[in-house]
Amino acid sequence: MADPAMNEQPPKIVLVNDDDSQDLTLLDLVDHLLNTGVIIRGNLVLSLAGVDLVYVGLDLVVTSVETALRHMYPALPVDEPPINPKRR
Amino acid sequence: MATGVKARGMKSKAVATAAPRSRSQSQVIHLYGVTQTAGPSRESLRDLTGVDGKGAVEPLECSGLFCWISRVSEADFARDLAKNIQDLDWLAAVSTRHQEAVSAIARNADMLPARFGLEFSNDLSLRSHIESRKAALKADFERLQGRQEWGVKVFALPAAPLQRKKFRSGKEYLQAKSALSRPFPGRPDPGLLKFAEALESIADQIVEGGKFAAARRDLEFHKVVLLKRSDRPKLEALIRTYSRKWKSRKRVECTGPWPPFSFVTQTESPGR
Repeated sequence: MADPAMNEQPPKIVLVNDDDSQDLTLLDLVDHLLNTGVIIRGNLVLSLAGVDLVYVGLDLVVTSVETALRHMYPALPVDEPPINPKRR
Repeated sequence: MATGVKARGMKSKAVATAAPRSRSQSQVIHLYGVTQTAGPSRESLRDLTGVDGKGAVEPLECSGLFCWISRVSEADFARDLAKNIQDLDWLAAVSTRHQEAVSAIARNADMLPARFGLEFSNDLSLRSHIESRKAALKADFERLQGRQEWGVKVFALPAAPLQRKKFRSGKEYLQAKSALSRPFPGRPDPGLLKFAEALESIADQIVEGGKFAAARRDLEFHKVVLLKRSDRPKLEALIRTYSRKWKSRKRVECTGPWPPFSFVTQTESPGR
């Protein structure tokens, strides 16, 4: 009998507070940082128009990365491009 | 600067030379979030760099609460912030450092995370804004005590992985390409509905996931869940159960623990 675990997709738990969390994506980060969180009205607040431009920029990046990966590795499920916190 | 031009005599010389330096050193206060308790010790944050990659992350007591801040360049984080965040390399580096600071502070303390981009010109300004929102912040601390948020996503996996092959015609290539980008049917999947119910049974509150991550076409389900810290094993067990159940059909991904970014009161949100 085939092992039922053979085809199982292991759950992916990305720990945000893990020092080595390389799998956290820029999309997840930006979703949290730019779009949620308590707003304490400072003197200087990032304008919503500025945030909207980031959306447009990121959308283009995701779409082009996804398209490129699908062409290169059509058999693989495509992951979001991870960012490497240790890079900079 | 204007002050340098208007100043007279010896003073004008001093101001004129000092002005560019003071302008480049001009700082604002970057806010990560607010805690009720003193939170982690300064010692434990010693190795942590601020959002700018240079400064420290420090607590500033404001009206009995603790604001977690870094002192950063006014030019980079206020004047040019809207422009800088368009640079994805800059945004990736800065948002990663911001999140690392938030995680370190929130690891063992309840924290109300601030929206990125809140900069204050000085301590007094921050203190007065916190004082004016103190009641709302206290209410949020009470409501969200001991709770964290988790992002839960379910991705559809290709039914039969396509093998790399040589296409005999342009038509065949286009058909294969079309199959890859085929949108998913709109009808809700009963398995997903059960998963959503199970998630609801352990969560305090659930909201829709963010719209950046929703850009993925294979994303079938994306919610953000508010969970007691002590209920984390229940979430992990649920995810394991459904990963087993769905096998190669779907992949579950869970990201957290975040401080409750999506559940804080955003009364001052200008309409988003």
